[in-house]
Amino acid sequence: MNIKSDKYKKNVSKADIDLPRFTINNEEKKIYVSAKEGNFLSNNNILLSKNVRFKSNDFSIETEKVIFNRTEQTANSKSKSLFKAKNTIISSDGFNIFDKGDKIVFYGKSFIVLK
Amino acid sequence: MSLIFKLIVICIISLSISAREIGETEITTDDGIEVFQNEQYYLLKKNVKIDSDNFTLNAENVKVDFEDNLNNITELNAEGAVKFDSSEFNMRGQGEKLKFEVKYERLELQGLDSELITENIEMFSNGLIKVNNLTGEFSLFGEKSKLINENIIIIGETIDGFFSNNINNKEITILNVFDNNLSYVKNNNSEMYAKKINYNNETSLIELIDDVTIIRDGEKVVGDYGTLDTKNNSYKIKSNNESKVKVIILNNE
Repeated sequence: MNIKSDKYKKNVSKADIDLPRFTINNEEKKIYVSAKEGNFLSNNNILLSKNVRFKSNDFSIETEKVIFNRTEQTANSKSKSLFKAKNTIISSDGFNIFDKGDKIVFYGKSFIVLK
Repeated sequence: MSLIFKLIVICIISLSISAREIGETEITTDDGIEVFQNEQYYLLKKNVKIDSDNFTLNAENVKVDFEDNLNNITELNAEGAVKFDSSEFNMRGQGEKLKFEVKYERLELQGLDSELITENIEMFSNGLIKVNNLTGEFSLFGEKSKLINENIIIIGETIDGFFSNNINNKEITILNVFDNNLSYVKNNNSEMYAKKINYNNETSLIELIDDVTIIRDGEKVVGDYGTLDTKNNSYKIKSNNESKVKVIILNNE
């Protein structure tokens, strides 16, 4: 009986949102935001976690945790991040997305490869 | 056994991340990168190191302008203990600031102890060094700016002119030197002082204007205007004061 209960608990997600999806609308392009889980920190701030991905036509960013602000359309991550664009890879200790995706700040010791 | 396998995998992964491949440019920073996509530039912050097949650069901060994608660099502005080495352009240099316009091959070094070293020419300044690699135009501004090549040493507050476009041997074709406290030019066997010194490779004449002194073979000649023909190694000096004797010395060696 106990074993069944544990199994049941494992299958229940603690996330407020399963597979959350958002879009950052820039004048130039759209950035699609996706993750496995999302938890509300406040009305506007959502903690996205597990396989968090920002994707536009030009680039993608992958990380594990991001705080996404729905109204400001900003994102802030303090976990290891990997940016990929055409012939470019950037790895960093975190990132911030401002100005609807026009400005991306990569934090900490950063490593860029231009091919 | 499983631990050894994991260690081997970690080693292989870390090697593949850090080892730069041929044709790639690797950049590291201590304090991140700011990318401005619409404005098409990015800022590399703190202890920046750029390493590619034919170019290395170290600086405190670097701004990189790009077109279309991040690796299509159009302009590079570096500041703070800048040091670079370009095997493509056969030059290395240092300064407090560097500006390099890639398309136009225009380079500016600024600040104390700026220097630009090419295969044939060395330039030093505490102010500004500017070189246009396409046109051959160069200029140095700042106290005790200095230009040295195989045959000549030039010191002045302002030095400008043109190099020849010969890739293997960049000769000075036009030179203008000015220093209110006296410019200095030393060639194979002569030392020259004047406020203004000009040189034209076509006429092979060095022109000396105001407070002129020429020192050669232990002889010192003073005047207000002088010319030195580098072809036949002769010089003339005259004075504004008509009562003074003009000196002409010919060396027929």
